[in-house]
Amino acid sequence: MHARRTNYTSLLSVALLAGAVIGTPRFASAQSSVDDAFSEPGINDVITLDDVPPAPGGGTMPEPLMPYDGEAEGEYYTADCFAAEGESWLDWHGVPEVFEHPDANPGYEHSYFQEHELPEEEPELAWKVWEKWMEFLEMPHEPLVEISEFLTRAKHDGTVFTDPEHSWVSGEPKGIVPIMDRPPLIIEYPQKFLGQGTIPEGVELPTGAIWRPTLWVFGSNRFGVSYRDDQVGLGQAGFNFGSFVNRLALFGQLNFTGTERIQIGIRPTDEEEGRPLLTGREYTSHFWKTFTSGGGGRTNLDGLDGWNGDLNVAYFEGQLDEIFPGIDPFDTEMLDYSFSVGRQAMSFQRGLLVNEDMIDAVTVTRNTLYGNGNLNLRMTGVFAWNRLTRVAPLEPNTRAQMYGLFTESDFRYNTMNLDVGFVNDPNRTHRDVLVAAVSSTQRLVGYHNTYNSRFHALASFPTEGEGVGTAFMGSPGNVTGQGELFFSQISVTPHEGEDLIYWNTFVVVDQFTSLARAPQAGPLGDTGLLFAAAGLGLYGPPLATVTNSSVGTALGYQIFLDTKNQQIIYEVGAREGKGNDNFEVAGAVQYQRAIAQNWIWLISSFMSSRKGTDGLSTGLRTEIQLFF
Amino acid sequence: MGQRIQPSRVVTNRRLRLPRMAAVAAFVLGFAGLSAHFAVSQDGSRPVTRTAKQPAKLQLISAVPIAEESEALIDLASINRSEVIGATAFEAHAQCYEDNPFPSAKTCGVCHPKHFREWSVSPHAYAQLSPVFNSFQNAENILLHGTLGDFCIRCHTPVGMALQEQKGGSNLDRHPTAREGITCVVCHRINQPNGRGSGRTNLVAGGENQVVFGPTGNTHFEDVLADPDKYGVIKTEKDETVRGRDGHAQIHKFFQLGTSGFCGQCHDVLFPLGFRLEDAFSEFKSSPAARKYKLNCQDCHMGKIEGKPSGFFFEPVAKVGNAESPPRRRTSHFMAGPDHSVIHPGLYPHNPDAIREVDEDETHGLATMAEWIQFDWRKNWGSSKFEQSKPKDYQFPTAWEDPARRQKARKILNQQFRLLTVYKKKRIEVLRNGFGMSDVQGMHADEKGLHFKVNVVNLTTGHGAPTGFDGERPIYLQVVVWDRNKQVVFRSGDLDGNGDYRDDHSFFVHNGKIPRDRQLFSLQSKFITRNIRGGEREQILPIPYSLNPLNFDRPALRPFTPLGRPLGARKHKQILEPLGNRWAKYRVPACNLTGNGPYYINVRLMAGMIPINLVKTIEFTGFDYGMNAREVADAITRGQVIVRETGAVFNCHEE
Repeated sequence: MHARRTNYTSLLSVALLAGAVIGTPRFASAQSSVDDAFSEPGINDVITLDDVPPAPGGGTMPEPLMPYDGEAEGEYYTADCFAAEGESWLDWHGVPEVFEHPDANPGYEHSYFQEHELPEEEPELAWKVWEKWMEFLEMPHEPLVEISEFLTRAKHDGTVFTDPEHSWVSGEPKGIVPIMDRPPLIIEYPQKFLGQGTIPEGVELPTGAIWRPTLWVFGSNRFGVSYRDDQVGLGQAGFNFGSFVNRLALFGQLNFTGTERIQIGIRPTDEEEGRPLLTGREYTSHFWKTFTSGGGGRTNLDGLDGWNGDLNVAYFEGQLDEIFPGIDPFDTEMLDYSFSVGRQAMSFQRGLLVNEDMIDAVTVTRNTLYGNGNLNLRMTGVFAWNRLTRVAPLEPNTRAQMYGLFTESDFRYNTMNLDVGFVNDPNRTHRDVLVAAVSSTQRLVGYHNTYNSRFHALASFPTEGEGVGTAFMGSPGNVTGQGELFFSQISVTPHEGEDLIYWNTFVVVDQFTSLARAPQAGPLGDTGLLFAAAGLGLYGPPLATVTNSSVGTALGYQIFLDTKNQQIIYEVGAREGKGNDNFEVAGAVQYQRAIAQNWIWLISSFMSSRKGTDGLSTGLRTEIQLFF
Repeated sequence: MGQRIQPSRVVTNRRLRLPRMAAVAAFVLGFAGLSAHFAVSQDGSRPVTRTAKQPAKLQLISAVPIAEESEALIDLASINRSEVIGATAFEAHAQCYEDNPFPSAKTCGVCHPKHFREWSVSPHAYAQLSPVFNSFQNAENILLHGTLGDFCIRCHTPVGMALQEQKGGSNLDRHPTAREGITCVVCHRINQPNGRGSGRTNLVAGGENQVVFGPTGNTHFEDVLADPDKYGVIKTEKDETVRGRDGHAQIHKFFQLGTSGFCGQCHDVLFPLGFRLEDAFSEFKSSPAARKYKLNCQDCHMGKIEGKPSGFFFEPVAKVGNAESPPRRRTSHFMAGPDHSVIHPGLYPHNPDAIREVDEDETHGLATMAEWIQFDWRKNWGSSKFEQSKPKDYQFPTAWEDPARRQKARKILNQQFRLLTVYKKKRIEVLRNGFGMSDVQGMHADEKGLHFKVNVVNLTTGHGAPTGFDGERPIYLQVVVWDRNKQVVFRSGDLDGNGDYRDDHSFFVHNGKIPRDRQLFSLQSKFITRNIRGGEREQILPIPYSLNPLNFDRPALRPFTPLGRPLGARKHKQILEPLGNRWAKYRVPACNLTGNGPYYINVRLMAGMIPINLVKTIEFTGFDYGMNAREVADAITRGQVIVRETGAVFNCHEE
């Protein structure tokens, strides 16, 4: 490996992407100070409003509704105009009599246009090509809507918009619709969670803060039935089973204020530190079809016992100036440092960089910072000292430490994330790694529609050579590798309706290694349903998510029905990795619907084919989710 | 210039040998340094230490009526509250009013008419009456399957929620004080700092003789009590045997009432899931106003001029009978903002002469809310012109058949219109103190068309512009260019059939009926929700229904501070930072030019209350007061104001 060369290449690629976005003139223009806001000399013909002739449309150039007279010192309405005198203390003086509502005649005409009368400009070639391509991707949408309506017997949300009046605000009188009661938590004492009633007196801490301790207990349960039949080749991982599986999550929160709380959580039916099966967590399951797995020896099981009492979540979260209000009584210092400490879930770069559901860490965050072109900057420093999962699905590393600085900033056109993290791992096999990432999220405004897009570029740099081990799902690879990951997510909502068509693609160059990953899945789960584990039992992703020298894509159609209470997703995807027999293609369908106030029913299936194997791999699962 | 990572700084194939503790220390110090850098970058200097005497440790003061002070220190606030609230919530209205735990602003207005009048037309007074707000929170509650609870409405009617009123339903069914929204007791019956509690504050209950809390304490009130010859007898406790005017038991000094943090307890809206809906207070804490100029919210929003520090009035704060109290600093209670009323002018501004309760007679007010809604003010009922010219068989609702009553109503409405007019002036005042706009600049022509630009500036030092509910604040530029024949050749910021500008949220644009305004300049932030796959998209409501069909909110299952938001939704801020500015650049396409120059340019900086697409999105829940969505939308559109305006003439040679 030419580690040094590729490291430089990776750094440059990330830097160039960041530079290209940051250096765009539009951001530079936003960085000029207020002092020069009006300083640019006007080019000839700049005249004042008074010189402009009457506006078209029959009206005259409007004056502001009420000439502003507050700029001159002392010119303001004084309270004297409300002096309580005369026949009623409501009479007031000094203000002229008014016989009309001030908004009755705004003084200007609003330009309502249903049809735009101006000619449309011809799009540039790049936009033409792009929009043709997106129109091509949208083509299956309409037939899929019809299929969905047929399958569910529910009305597509878009069909309500086929009414020619659908764009208009309704003029029909309508009574107030009653709203449902708040579903209570298991325990909420003494204050209800977002419930009516008095707020009790608080307890004053020695710091001066007022806390109102309240206990809330809540959670969710997922029960699923899964069937999986993977056709695998020699040396490849796979699943063959039919199972009942359960996942219960219970949380207890001791809430003190709007910003301070302690939360603990358990998942008593699935255990992260169970036997290192293929999905990392051991879910309490019963196999009605005996479990077998391919790849490096077979395992046969009739059930799994994941009962445990481990704390999955146990952290305190708060804000410095709220805990110590006395240090800034006039609120004029920037002491609003937020922090969390303890065992917690963590995600950065949509899971591509850090995707942990159980890590011991301390974080310090500054939010709502601005300046230098940033409209809203968040900076988070992280130090994690325990349970860093680097080698999924093996048990988390208790010795590796992670340092990171993660930022997110809003600009005029996009939101950028710039992140860097370092893992210091005493394990001489795994070794240290530095990972940098940049991403940009924006809406691209086309001529016919607007396209949601999100682009990521990540690179990992082993600082002391690549670490070896089993990377993921039994596939060989490096625990600490050098490589780059480029990830793009593009989606569009077709006219009329709220459906979503997405097209996601990733390219992995060499062996990209994220800082930390959930034991159940690699960092590519955001590509599509086909690249994500179910998070329930051994039902892993239909397509492999190994992050070494591979390329993958997914095209999906999410269709909403029954005023968004039901949805169907159709997805096709493919992946190609290193080697001749490493091409996979798959399709999936997933249906979900809300039931009553706090239930979801889900059914999902897939079918995939892998080059070099005979037959199709299939999977089918259904799940009931309950929230309380 | 783009930032570049220096490759030479990366160590490859070599173990970083930093001692572990040193690494931790460096990390902490580095983070603090970076934070400090961003903290000072706005004004280029570090904040100076406040020289004013800092207060002693904040003292928790119990809400004990003066009549019972000699008894043991009983938490009367809570006892009274539970007893009285029980009565108010479940017993008849009449008893409720007699033993009112939360007095109406009307009660306070008897001695504080200036405060009342200003407050009565303020956004605080409108907070709960707003049909848009009520339908918005109803819609959110329905779409979140009831889990939103009282999150929104807790801020809008703290009294109503303390009285355990229903979240939905009509304001006509609410307790009178609950309808008043952010009424007097909501601020002056708080005795504990609540921090960023998103409005979940504890109100000290008790009648009008209960202790109240103010920024200066009891000093001036004692002067009034000490001079019965001038001010008469003030009843500081409820005693039917004593003749006199009701007054406070005492005024306790509550230091925090005069700080920005007091405003921040409602004006930083942090949902328990971690969603930062509004962060005006957080913006303020990072601003030059706080750090450099040491101002607070009250300096700009309770002074003589709305929206900039202009000093306070120095005058009596109370009028007891015909005698005014000694002059002192008096704060304005207009607290104007971009919102305006869309409801019947008989219902708002709050007017004791106008409204009576169902079980009250007309000495308490002319008509009930339900009767006022029937009064057709647009047809000028009650005016001389209408009354003299109306057809003989004109049908009136029963309540308004009496012409004398209609004339009384018209007189009240004229008072209302005057007050609304003053408020409109205040609204424009605060907007103009927030937004500046340059002349048209940078005009030039090339083969692509005509180019020009204007600069929009945030004139405030204290927060972004817009701020608060900036995800639904249409602040935008309306641009028209026309030729000498008055033929329009370019528009931006024009409105669709509903009254929305042509962004992706316009239903006409979304449905492909009209083209999107690709050059629109808007300062409205956007709610962004996560898609199940395919990145994120803008939505009118910040509910990520792509992720699953059942949105069900519970406390965040992970710390929300590291990301500063939940995974499923966020806000993409588009505001101008304090003292920030942004160029709006325009190009009139060459294909649109007519050859009939010169071309005239008109640019208006417009400010609306909310976009109409929000009204359409929530219209399925219905609107209060019998209004339909179209009425609400039209009133909102009519209420838009021109904040700034400029124009220019473009002379160019066309071949």
